Parts: sequence; structure tokens; C-alpha cells
Amino acid sequence: MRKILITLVLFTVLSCDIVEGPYIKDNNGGTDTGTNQRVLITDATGMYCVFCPAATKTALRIAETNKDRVFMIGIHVSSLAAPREDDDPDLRTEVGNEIYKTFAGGNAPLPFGFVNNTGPNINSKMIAWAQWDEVATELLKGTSPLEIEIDTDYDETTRLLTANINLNYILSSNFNDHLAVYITEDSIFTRQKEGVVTHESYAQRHVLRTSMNGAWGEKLSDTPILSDTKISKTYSMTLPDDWNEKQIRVVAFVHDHNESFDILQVNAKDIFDE
Amino acid sequence: MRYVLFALVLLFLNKELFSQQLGNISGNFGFEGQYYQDDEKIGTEPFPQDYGAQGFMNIIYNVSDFEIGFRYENYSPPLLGIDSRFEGSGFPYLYATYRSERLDVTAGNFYDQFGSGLIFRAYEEKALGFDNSMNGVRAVFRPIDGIELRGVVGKQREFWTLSDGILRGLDANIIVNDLIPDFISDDYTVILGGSMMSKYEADRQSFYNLPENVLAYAGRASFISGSFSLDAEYAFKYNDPGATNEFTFNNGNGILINTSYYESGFSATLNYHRVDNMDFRSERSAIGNVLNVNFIPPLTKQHTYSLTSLYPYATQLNGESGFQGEITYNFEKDSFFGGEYGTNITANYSLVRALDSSKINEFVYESNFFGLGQRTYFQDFNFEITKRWTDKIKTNFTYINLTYDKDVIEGGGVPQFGKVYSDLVILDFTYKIDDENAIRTEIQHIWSDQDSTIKIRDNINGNWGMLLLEYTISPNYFFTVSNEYNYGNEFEDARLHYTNFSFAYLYDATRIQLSYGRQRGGIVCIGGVCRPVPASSGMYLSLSSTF
Repeated sequence: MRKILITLVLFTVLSCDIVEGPYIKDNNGGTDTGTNQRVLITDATGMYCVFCPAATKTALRIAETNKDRVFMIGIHVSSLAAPREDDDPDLRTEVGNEIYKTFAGGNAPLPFGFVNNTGPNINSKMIAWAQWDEVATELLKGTSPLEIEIDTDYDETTRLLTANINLNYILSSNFNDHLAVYITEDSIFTRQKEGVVTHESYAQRHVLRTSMNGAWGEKLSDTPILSDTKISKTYSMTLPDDWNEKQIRVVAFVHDHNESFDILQVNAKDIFDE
Repeated sequence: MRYVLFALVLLFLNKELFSQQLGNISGNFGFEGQYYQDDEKIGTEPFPQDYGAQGFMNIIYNVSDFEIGFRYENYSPPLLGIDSRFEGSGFPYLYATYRSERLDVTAGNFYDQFGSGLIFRAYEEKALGFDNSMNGVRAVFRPIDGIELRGVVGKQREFWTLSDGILRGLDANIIVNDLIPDFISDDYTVILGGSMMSKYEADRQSFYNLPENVLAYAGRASFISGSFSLDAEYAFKYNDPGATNEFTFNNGNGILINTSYYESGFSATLNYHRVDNMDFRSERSAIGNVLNVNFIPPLTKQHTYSLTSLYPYATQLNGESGFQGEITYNFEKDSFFGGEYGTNITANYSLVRALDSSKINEFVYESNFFGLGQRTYFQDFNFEITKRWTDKIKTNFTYINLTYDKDVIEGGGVPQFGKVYSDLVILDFTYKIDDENAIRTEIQHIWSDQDSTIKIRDNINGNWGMLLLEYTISPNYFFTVSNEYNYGNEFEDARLHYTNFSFAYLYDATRIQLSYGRQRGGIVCIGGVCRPVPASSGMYLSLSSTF
């Protein structure tokens, strides 16, 4: 009996990892598996959400660590994103509200997010921000049935933006695939609460401004899409005057719109990234 | 199979025979349902299903040294305020236990705690929508009189699945008087204890260098001498970065000291606690009331009258320090203050403050163990006078003075609401008409000031009045009507009445309640653990029974 007790005590005592630094992994470039799956983190945020900056920093850090493989967009939703002061901008959008309503019931407390919209069902897509890294890291090990390329053309005089989206299906897919093309604007400076601090000029990152083809995009085919299929789509819009054209990004993704809403592939391109 | 079922039905019908022959069956049942009406004025949330309904049944079967039990739960869907991830049904709680003089073993689900819960407490609280039951195995071994060893291994319940993290724990409880009878006089009782809990959760993310195994340990001692008792417990937790502490790599610690003194007609208690980074979860990403491994006993008085629930205190697991003192005195019958029936007075004071800490870098901070932060989170001075005036009349008068840091307790620290300073008076008056019939009234009022400009409309701020009338026909029937009126709200359109009608029927161990009306939004706290309750309007039905 004494031996068993000593073993049990040692078993418990030894089960402890003490991290005295470094606190950050030496991991530049993330996990390179040679696959082409990319990841979109949708960060549900708001100016008056005190924990949201921590969540956004996490999303940015994951995107930075996995450059060109992980992208983030910020959707400003809920009453915590509503203007409270006269000079507060309203960064909420119809598209963002639709996503919030569909995936989070329209009343879930911030912050949370969606990582390639994975989740057991349409009502359960929310992922706590501390889990984004883990979910994204796992998804990056996977493969995607298609590639997305984005070409943009922007006329600075007329502010007309044209986006050509080229899809190349390497594997077959089903007939529920939808292509959505979102426009984001980076570094919009607003007031932001963070813990006990109020930042008077805080950079809101990759803020979702609108969609070029509706909240859920456009259906790609009425029949299953076969491998080696190439599809091209073109969308245009005139950027409003108050959007900073230098910070505009086109984010295109294909998702299974019928059941899972999971994002199959995503890509993004800054329109001044020539 | 049909014959087996038939035999079981027969045995159920003859409970006495069943009990004698094949053991004993017991259990309980509970159901709550609500029909939600839209009520824009009070800010009800949309409830597409119109009805919320949730119920459960526990069945426990005992025979000889064995016990097996299970619980069925159904949320179709959960009521407003209960986490929507509970939606569904199933058997989340199943177990089998064998008990003997020296050894108890349980396989399946169980609730348990080590000491006061500083490093481990698995429990269920339906009103909070909280259940962190363990799924695994537990053994309790009593090798000799006075020593009890306890070991647990398993995963915690996470709605309808289990946590990723695995818990492994050990606890030892030593009653020194039983172990060494001659060592200590019978006038004293000394109990010592120690426990360890280790959590394993894989590190699958790419950025932080996270500890996969996190160890916490605690030591405790109790000393009881006649009318005096002293309990103390200290806990330590190694680095445990997670969502709730924003990935700090600090170690955590906590200390509780409780003393009490009783003598005829008088009692006094004094409690102190300090907790620093003691939010312990079986998953790093868990937030809210989900997957808590431990429990910090509350340091403030748990008030029960309805208006006191406007500003209840929620224990700040990331760090707080404070104390509470309470004195109760009973003026004897036929004394000047006691009158013909005696008078009871209780005075209570508690103060909770921030820790004295400062950040070293993004990952660690330093904290002065003996220091006390400047920021007051919560302060409560209250007294209660309970007096029976005649055979028919009894009163309870309560006064409460609160300081409530709404920014910290509700807003995560953002300077948005400021502090709330409030005074409450409550008169609870019971008139017994005869042996069967009684009328009870509650008159409550709160004066409330917030030290910030209120820019956003809410249905809480300002002064409130409340009146409740309850007519009881003992022992079965209760008729209640109540009205809360937020007449002092900053916003005129939020100065609303919250009227509620309720009927309850009690028979043996069965209670049925039906109510209709408005329920204001607020916070419900049990043991310092809180959840928000959204405003609602509609019909509410509950049924509970024990058998």
C-alpha cells in the first residue's frame, strides 16, 4: 500500500511543467505541411468591448506567424460596437450583422470569433479567442479542394475597384459552394476600451466594410464541381470617399453554403500590394 | 425482457417490498418552463422558440454496499440566461459506487471537493446553469482511524461533451484526535489536510510556450475548541496561462482564514481571504462559468431579498483581498430589548479590494502578498433585526449600505459605470391570521447613486421601490403578488414597473409554481459565482419533487 501511495503522490507531483521563459515559441512561419489550405479568422469585436483588443492581437499574431496562409477580418457587432460618443464611427455592417446573427444568435457576448467557420453546426460556430491558434494550427495541416487567385484593378481617379477571382478546383466539390468577396479596410482609428484603459486613437484592424456579392456570396454551380474545373468571376464597386484606398483589401473565400458553412479556401489581396 | 419490465413495475408499486428485498430507490425531478413575450420596454431579447423548457430527473438505487445512479437532462431549449450550449438531452451523469468501512470506489460521474475547494471542487448549481462534474474514477481509502485518502482522475463535463483537459488529484484528511487519541485533549479537535491537483492539456497552438501539465497544491488546518474554531487553508498553483488571466505566466496562490466564536445568545465570525491568479480551468480557452476546476468561497454576505440582487458581489478569481466580520446577538425574552419573545440582531461588514500588483512585462507581474490595493471592489455594511412582537406578528428589518465597483464586477474593469453607492431598507412583516392563514409583506427600497454620467440606457440604475404581498394557506398554498418600480432611473422611459403574480402549491416533497409577469434583468449569484439574467416577460412554470 505504501508503494502505491508513493507512486500516486509522485505521479501527481511530477505532473507539472514550469515555464520560466522564453514564453513564446521559436516558430517563424508556422507549420509548413506543403498543403494549400488557408485560414480566415473572423474576429467579432467592438469599440466598447474591453477584452476585444486581446482577441484581435491574437488573430493578428496568428496571421503574422502564418503569413499568407492565415488572414483575419474584424466584424464590428453587438451593442459594444455601437457609437456612444458623437465622434464614434459606426463600423457595423449589414454583412457583419448577418454573420453575427447566423453564427452567434445575434446576442453572444464579445469577444469570440470564427475560424474558417468551423463548428458542429450553423448555430455553434463561435470559438473562444484563446482557442483560435489551436484551431487554425490544426486546419493548416489540412488540404483544400481548390485554389483562389485574386487580381485587382483600381482606378484612383474614379475610385472604381475591380476584382477578378480565379478559382481552380484541384479536387471535386459539391454544388453548394459559394464564393464570397469581402472588402476590408485596415487601421481605422477610433476610440477603444481595453481593460481599464480607454485608447482615444486605436487602430481597428482589417475592418469588414462590405461584400461585393452579398453576405454569403454567389453560388458557383448548380451541379457538382468536378476536379480541374476553373471558374472566374469579376466584381466591381466604387469605393466611398471616406474609405482609405491605401488600406483596402479584397478577401475572397469559398464555403459550403448548404450545410456546414465551412470555408473551403480563402485568399486575400491588398489593392495597393503591387 | 417484457417479464423483467413487468417484475420491475411490480416492485416499484410495492416500494416497501422492493426496499426490503432488492434495495432502495430514491431520486428527484425538476422542471422549469417559460413562455416568453416580447416586451421592448424592459429590453427582452428575442426568443425565436417562444418557449424555453428544461428538466431533469435523478434516480439513485442503493442495495447493500452498492449504489448506482443516473440523471437525465433535457433542455428544449434552455431558459434565457442559461448557456445555449446546453440545448439537447441525454444522460450526462451516470455512476456506480461501492462503499465499505475502509474503501469507497466510484466509476463514472461524481461531485467532490478537496478542503474548501481552493484547488478542486466539482459541483452542480442548476440556478447558475453550472455543472462541472467529473467523469472518471474516484477512490476513498481509510487505512486507519483518523486518516482518509482520496484520489480522483477524470475529465470535466462541458455541456454535452467532456473537457480536453485531464484532472488528476489526491487529498489527505487527518483527524488528529482519532489518529493519536492521547495526544490531544478531548476538549480540542484538530484536523489537518493536504491536497494536490494536476491538469493536463495538450499545447496545440503555435505561439505561446504553454505548460501542458499544471500543478496546484493546498494545505489546511482546523482547530476547534468548544465555542471557538479556526480554519485556515493555503493554496498554490503553478503557471497556468489561459484566456481568463490573459495568458499571464505568473504562479497563483490563495489563502483563507475563518474564525468563529459561539456562546449562548452570541456569535462572532471573522473571515479573511486573498486570492491571486487562482482561476483554474481544465481548458485554457474556457471563459464564463465553464470548466472551473476550483471554487473560491465568497467573502461577502449572500443577501436574499430581491432588490439586493441588483448589486451582488462576484468573486474576482484573478485577484482580490478582503475580510468580513459578523456579530449576532440574541436579546433574551423579558429583557429590555428582547421584549416578550426575544430579539435577534445581526451586524455584518465586508470589504474587498484589489491586489497590490504591477506588471513586469507582457507575461508576468509582481504582487505584494501582504499589500492591499487601493481600489475598493466592494464594501457592505448591513444589520438585521428580527423580532416577534406577538403570537401573530413577526418582523425582520434590514439595512444595507453598499459600495459596488460596477466597472470591475460587471465590466471587466473598463471605466464606464463607475462605482455605485446604495442604501437599502427592507421590512419583512408577517401576520399570522390563524393556524392556517398568514399574510407576509415585504417593503423594500434602494437609494442608489452612480459616480459617472450614465450615457447608455439601462434598466437597473437609480432608486427602486418594491412591495410584495404573500398570502399563505398552510401548508399547501401560496399566493404572491409583487411589484418592483425603478422610479429613479436616469432615463424617463426606463422608469418601469415590474409586476409579477405567482401561485405555489406544496404537497409533501412536491412543489409547483406558476407565475406571470415581468422579470427585470440583473445578476444571479450563488456562492460568489454569478451569471447575468436577461429581462423577460411571460408565464413561468416550475415543478420539483423528491421521492
